[in-house]
Amino acid sequence: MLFNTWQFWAFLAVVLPVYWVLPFRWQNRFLIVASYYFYGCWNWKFLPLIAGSTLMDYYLGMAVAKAPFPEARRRLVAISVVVNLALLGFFKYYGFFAREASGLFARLGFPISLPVWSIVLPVGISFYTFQSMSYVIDISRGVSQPADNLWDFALYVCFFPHLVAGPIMRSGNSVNGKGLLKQLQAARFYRDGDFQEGLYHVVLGLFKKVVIGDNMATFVNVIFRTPTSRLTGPECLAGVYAFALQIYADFSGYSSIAQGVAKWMGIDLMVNFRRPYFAVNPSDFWRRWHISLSTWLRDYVYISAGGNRGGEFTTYRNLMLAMVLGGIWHGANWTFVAWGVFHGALLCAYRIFDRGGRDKTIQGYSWYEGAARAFVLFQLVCVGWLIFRADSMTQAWQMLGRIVTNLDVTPLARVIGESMIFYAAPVLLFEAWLERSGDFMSLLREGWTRRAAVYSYCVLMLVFFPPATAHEFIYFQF
Amino acid sequence: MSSFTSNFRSEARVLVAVGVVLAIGEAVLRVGGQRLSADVQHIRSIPARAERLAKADGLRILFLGNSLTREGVRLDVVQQQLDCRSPVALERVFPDDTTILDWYYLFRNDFEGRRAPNVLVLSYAKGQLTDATPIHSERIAGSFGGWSNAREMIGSDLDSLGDRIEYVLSSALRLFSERERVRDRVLATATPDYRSTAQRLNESERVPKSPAAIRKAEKFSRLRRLLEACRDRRVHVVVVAMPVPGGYGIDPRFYGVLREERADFLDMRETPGLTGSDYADGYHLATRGAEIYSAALGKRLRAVVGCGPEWNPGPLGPVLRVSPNGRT
Repeated sequence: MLFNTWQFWAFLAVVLPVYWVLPFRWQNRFLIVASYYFYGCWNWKFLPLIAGSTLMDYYLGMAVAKAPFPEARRRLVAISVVVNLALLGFFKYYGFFAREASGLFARLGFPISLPVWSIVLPVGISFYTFQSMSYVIDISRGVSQPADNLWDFALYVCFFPHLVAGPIMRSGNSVNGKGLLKQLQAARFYRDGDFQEGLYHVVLGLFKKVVIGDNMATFVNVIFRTPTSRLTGPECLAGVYAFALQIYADFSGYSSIAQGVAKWMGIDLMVNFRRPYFAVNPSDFWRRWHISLSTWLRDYVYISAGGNRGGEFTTYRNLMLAMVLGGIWHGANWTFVAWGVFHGALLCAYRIFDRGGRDKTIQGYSWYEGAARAFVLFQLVCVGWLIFRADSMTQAWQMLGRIVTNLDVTPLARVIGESMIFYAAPVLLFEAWLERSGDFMSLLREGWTRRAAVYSYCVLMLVFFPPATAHEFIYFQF
Repeated sequence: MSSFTSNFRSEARVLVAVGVVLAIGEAVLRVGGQRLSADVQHIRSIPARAERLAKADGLRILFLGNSLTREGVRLDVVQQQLDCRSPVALERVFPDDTTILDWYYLFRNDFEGRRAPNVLVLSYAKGQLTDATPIHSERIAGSFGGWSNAREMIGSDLDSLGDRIEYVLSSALRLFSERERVRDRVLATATPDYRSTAQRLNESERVPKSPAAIRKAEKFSRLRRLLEACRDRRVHVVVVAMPVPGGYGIDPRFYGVLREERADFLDMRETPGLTGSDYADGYHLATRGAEIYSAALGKRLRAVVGCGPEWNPGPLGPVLRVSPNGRT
């Protein structure tokens, strides 16, 4: 059940009214049932996996809170981390590991082949395992309290708007906003402005996903499925730019819809994207892109490994570690590892060469310097996207080579370029306006006519320009 | 709940304004939709064509198909070859990109309620008669019946809730039923090379056939429904396999369906005289090819259905004449 299907909206049309007429305690239980149904629509066979992970981390959380010594707490946290990572590792990485290990053994002269099973990846496993782990770790750090009861915790794990593609919410309050568990434990009231804000997130999210993301997917697929030898440089370049727009529109669109739907239930999900293509340096980019994952990696990997407390070398090592793990989190392929290394290297290089610009955003520069920096960073980010989207490193290298050696502008390259302008330019201009105003909700402070004009445009585009083929959300595969 | 309501009211002006914009769009499409494409004009002319055929004297023959029929069947040439002394009325209906399910609902919507044609010449190529053809629910809803077919369409042809909702919306609103055409028209303007690259883009989206799709390609239940509807109205059906470059095979099960439903078959895949240069765009027949094909079709039709006073299928319908090799 995807957010961009009628099935989902029919499901929501039933869930929302029932949710609001129920008393507080029943609201959570009802949402658990709804969330399990929502997840079961993909594959009900994986429901025990979520339930098992929930039970384990709930009881481990309680045990950690009661543990008398730090050593005991560490052991319990280790159990949570190992079991969650083992689940993730088995479903997500076993096939890759078996294939690569067999290849390595063969090269070393030991033709040992590990059994290769066709393992179905449970949707959203990377999101909910990371969220469960953070709950146990936060209790051990004293950052948050264990859940009052199993129901609240179960809903914290499976809350359907963010279950399959995030944002990865923390249990207690943090710099990212209110903790999800904390919100679920309190009675909810429909706050003034929730409907308006939710509508804004949902309309914008659907527009990004359906109009930009899915239409760009068609171009991206045709470029990346064509043998590179049959592509020209501008076609490759257009394909990479189209993917940059696709992955942003798709994922931020999903997050936006999730935020909007949760808002309609009186629950705040964290902002997961803050106009990332207006970032002026790599550090700024990671404060704007997939914020729930980047802050997770910062808090539980980078800082746990020592952060910047051990001198320059340790800082670079920890940056690389966090980014490589971030790459691997996306899936079992060397391209994801290379993508993580590339971004780690960018962050390290930025720390070395641009000390004066640290922590600056686009507002800290004159408009032309800010625009130039954002442009350069976008090109670098696109190199990363090329590595990320390519089926193999060979394809990535070949396409990169093609981009710099062949300048033949074909009708396909023109169509992709024109389509990017047609579909995505209005949103990028809108985001430039938001960036300038410094307020993501600026449109809600404007008069109703402007809002009506923006929503009418979005709805007309949704009606007339859905793609020929609907696409799943990219991050479901992660 | 009361807070929800008050909050909803505060945003109601915005929602009403969006509704007004959609209503204006709907009105524009209802009034000026014909300008979207020649295909829309043709679809909107189908009731008039059906009426004309129903009122005609003598033998009434309907040629039903898609753009292959539009480009390949010349009624004047067919008429000449039929060479009937008694009156014969010929009519063509050829909405773009249509296949068997579209033809079934089109026939039921536009020809069943009237004085039906005596003969339906159903022209197809490749897999256009199998159950694996895509369902154009928006087009069927908007142009070939809409509400009147809703029960059958939802009960027999649309599996998912989403498809059913889209069908209902397309039955009610031109905003939905015409959106593909609006999209094509706007994109052709916004991106001048859109049409020349559309085929390549569509091919990249094509996924390998699933086992279910392969099984569907071996079934002809939609064809059977059309043949049964025709039999009920005592319409003699002649199914014609049209020529296309590269040719195509015919599933033996297809002949079985025709035999059971008492339909005729003309195999025109290898029409003598046609060469590669007779195909204008690598698929549709050009002017010379259409003349050659129509002449051959007219001759073969005369042999199958005859014309004028001798046309009398009798109380049990036409005599079964299935001829894989085209000879009757």
